[in-house]
Amino acid sequence: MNGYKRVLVVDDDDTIRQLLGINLLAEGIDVDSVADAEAARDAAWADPPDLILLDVMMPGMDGLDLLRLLRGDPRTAHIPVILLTACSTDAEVWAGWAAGADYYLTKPFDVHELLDFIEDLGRGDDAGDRDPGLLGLTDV
Amino acid sequence: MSGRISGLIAVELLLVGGGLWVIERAPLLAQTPGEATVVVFAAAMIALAFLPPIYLEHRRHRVWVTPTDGAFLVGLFMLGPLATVAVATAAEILIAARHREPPMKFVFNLTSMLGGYTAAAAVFAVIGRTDPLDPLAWAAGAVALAVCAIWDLVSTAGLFSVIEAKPFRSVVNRVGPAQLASLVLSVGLGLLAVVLVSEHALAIVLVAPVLAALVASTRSLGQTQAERSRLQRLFDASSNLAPLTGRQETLAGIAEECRGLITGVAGICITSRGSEPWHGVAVDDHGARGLGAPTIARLLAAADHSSQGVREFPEGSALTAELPALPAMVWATGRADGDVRVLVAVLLEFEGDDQDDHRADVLATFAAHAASVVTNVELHEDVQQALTHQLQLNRQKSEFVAAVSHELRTPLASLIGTIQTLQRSGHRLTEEQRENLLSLGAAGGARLRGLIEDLLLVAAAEHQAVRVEQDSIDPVELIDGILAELTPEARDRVEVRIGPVGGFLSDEDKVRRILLNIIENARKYAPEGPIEVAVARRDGKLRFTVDDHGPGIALADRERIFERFLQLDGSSTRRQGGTGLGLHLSRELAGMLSGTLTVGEATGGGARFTLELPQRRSHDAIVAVTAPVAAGVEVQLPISPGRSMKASPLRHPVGVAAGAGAGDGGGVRS
Repeated sequence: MNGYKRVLVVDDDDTIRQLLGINLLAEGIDVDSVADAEAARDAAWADPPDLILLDVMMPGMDGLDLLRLLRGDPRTAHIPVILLTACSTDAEVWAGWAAGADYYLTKPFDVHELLDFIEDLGRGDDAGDRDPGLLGLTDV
Repeated sequence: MSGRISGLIAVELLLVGGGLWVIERAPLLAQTPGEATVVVFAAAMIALAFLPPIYLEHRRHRVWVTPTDGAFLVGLFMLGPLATVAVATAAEILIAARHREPPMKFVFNLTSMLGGYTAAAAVFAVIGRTDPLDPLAWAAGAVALAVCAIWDLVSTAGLFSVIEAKPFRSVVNRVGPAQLASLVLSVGLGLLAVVLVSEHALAIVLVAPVLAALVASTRSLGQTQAERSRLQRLFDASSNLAPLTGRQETLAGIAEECRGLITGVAGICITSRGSEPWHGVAVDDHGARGLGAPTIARLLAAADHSSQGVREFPEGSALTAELPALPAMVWATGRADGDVRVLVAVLLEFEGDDQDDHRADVLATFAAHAASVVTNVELHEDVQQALTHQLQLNRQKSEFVAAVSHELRTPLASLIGTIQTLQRSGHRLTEEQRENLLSLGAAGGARLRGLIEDLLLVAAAEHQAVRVEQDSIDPVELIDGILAELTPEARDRVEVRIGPVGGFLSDEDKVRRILLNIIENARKYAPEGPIEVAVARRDGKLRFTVDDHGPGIALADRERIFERFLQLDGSSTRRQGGTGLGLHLSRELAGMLSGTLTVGEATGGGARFTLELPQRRSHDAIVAVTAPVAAGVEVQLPISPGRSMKASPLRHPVGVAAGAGAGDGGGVRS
């Protein structure tokens, strides 16, 4: 793989959306931004992105519900999803993994770490490795 | 009731007549004693009658043995039936007169005595044996006294079944054993005297002191035993209170122990802490029940504010229908630390007598202990309540910390993200992108600051360490300032309506915070529809209302939403953002400004938050500060009454002020 071309950012916080947009664009990745899970679902089904950055607590459907929905649908089941959320308790992190996240980052997140990880994931280094012990929990 | 008692008396008098008729026809009547004998006997009998009685107790009943019963037996042998009945009755009248009993009771007791003596005398006369050394004559005497005792028992049981509506048989079962003991004692003493006196009439002179000594020693032995049993019962009763924990359970337990302690029919325990109203329970054979305020008032009146005592109730004056109508009450009060007062009382079947002071003493000792037991139980319940409250508060705090953590993390992410982005790829960004980034970071910082200020203010409010300023506030400027702080989308939804209110004195920053909070709240919970902000003067107060057209707030939650840390519905509140502090803080602030913040229903559905503030007129206080406002000049804001406007930072307030044509002097400045 040659890295991701297009990323879908899902977050109800305008600032976070913009921030992620600027950074990803600077890395040469196209960004689609939506503010709620319903819009993200429609966008993902209509034109599946290479990667999804997903917030958990949002008005309406929350990020975990969306994640389960995506994992259950053949069009989107394979898309890597990084949860990017202010939910930081062990229980919340486990719930994220259980819902099928590829990576779990808590806010405030480290921009370098996020971008490095996206790059690694894009090259296929960590693709398919969803062992929570090795990934997100070390970050919590 | 007194009708039925009169009936009992009439029946007894009839039977007395029958007894006398029998005696008249018996051969013994012929025997006539010498006058000297009668006089000596009468004197002895009366003297004996004045000796204190010996008490015999069985279950909750007491009977007393008077030496007159024994003396009556002596009389039957020496004087013959009729004279003995006459002398004995005279002695009883004297005893009764000494006790100053109520008339009905006096008559009843006398009739009962007379009946018993007559029946006994009739039986003795019919058997007709009078030889003091003849065992058959002794048996005749014993039978005669037994008849007397049975008569007394039947008569007493009849009376109680009338007074208490208790089955006749149950009364007999309770009183019977003590009566039997009394009978055996009287027969023994009486026949001893008969044998001695038969040797010589004057032996009565020797017998009387011996009898008296015997009675006295029995009595003192009885007293010692009674004292020991009192202490034992006091100890038992106190021990029985130890395991009690619930309030009602404890009061019922105390009442029950009192009842056992004093051998009464009903036990009562009422209590009060500080200036709280009294409450309590009564316990009798039917179980425990709570007492109403009228009964408690009667009890307190009966106890007459004295610490302990005995009171007899003239027939018919029961306390209230909640308690059985009984002739006497013993009571005592106890007091413990923490202002707990306890009054315990026992209702008795028997009226007061010599020993009643002891009963009140025993009860007083117990009452003091009961008061400390009640205190401990109340403390225990208080502590449990406090603990429950603390646990709840603790849980709320944990939830709050989680919410705050989430709230802090999001703006912090903006702040750190911005800086890291600039570090990483600042050189690759356009000038416009950099500006944009910096403003995002600044917004995150501002959000953080706002949140931290709220947190600190809540903490300060809890320690009452908040300073309240006195600013002159112009409502129009105030609302304008608030609108300017809203996001443009929110501002577009706000409709303002400011009535003809004047300026006022208050802490501008706090008023602003409150209004901003409730407008933000309306925006969050009512995502659609206008948010109507109105200012009016009502009952001399300034009234700000914020109406939304959302789902409104359920009646049950209208106070709860002001609780600290409360999140009505965890998930929904978290989705809406917020820390669960805003409304709590707003109400605290309103309180600091001597105002109120309440929530109700808006016309046409939705929630209405109402902030009422005292309208202290600006010119009252700031004359010295603001030159253009002269003393006595009404400060009136340049707003037409009822003018409604769509809020927009451009059209207002400039347009409004200009339209009213009062450019400077009308405004109030601090």
